[in-house]
Amino acid sequence: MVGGGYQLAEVGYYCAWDSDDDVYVVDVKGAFRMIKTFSDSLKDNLDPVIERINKGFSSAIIIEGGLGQGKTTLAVQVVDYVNSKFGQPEMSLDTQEQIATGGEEFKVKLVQCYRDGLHGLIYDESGDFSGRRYISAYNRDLYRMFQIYRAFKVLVVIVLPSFTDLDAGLFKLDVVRFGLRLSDRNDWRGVFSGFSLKKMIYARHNIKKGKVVPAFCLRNMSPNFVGIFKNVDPVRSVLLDRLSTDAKIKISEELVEQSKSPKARVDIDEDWYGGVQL
Amino acid sequence: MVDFNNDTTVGMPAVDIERVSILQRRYDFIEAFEFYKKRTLSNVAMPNDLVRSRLLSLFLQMQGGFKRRYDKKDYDRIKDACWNSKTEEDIIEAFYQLSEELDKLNITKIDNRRAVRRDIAEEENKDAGL
Repeated sequence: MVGGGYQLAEVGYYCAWDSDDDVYVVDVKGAFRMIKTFSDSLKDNLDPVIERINKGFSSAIIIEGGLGQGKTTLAVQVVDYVNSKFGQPEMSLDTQEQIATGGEEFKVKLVQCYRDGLHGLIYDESGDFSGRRYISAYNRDLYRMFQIYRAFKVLVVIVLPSFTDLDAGLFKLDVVRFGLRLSDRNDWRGVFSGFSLKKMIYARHNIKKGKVVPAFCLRNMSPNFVGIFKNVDPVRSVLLDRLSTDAKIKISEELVEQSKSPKARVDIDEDWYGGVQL
Repeated sequence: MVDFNNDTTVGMPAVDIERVSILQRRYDFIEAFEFYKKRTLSNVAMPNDLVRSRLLSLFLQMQGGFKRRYDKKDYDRIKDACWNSKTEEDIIEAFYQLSEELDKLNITKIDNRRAVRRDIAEEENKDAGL
């Protein structure tokens, strides 16, 4: 980006950037604070969760947002932060040992992370969205894994478009500690709003009672914290893009395989048309 | 306000009536003290008899409880502080003692909710028992 500018970022703060793409937060007194990855508000919220992991309580956070809002980017930064807290280097996007796209991969990599002594794992859901039945299976697997992974001491970062897709049982386990809703991303930064587990439970309740539509369940609530995050550096950005593309190609191939099978075709119809044979 | 001519008051539990009466006496004292200070600060001669009498009313309202809760030494200390207060300093000191007693009895203690940092999601979760 050429030049610089500023914009309202957090409550009481302005966000500024310069010609070198460095991002700063400026408070009302004019003091500059450089943002290397994401705002301190998220670090303040991640620290107690990391403390929970150290004590042996299973914990997860959710990152939700529309397409292209930077969900995976922020997830990578969160896992980097977790790694730094345990004195480990940044997560590798080459070996991809701390990122799983899809339920099957997640189960394998969670065990692998435990064996390798890693404490952060991204569960990118993109491989699991092919229909309602598949989402249920996804939820069931996730639920079972979260019941047993307590001793692994791994923070799972669940990345998906909307947390309302997750099963209610997952919230009953108290595993999810908070959720981040991403919005308003531009070339040099994204904005996140953080909601506690308590607020997410209330949001789900409001949906169930028909008080609010799922798409607006968090927008009508005041967040616990807000902040911004920067894009990852250009080299990692390319790797992330490649990772995302690879996952999409894999899903496309799976869908093509599924559609070739007559039985699979019936299953998909049942999912989409509520089990009614057309 | 406690009004024994009012059916609503008569229907209230005695504990609630007593609690409201104590608060009312305290309010009356502070109001009289304010009036007294307003005059004296303006260099107008002002007797403190109204303030003293309201202090004694507050003590009398709570006397039975003090007698039950404290041994003779502590009870006499509070009683003497109230009954023997002549000057402004004595009155203030006596009121401080009574006020602390009200706080101990949770009658004027209003900061009894745990402070929770809502900007830390985990704090809010813990507060909700999650």
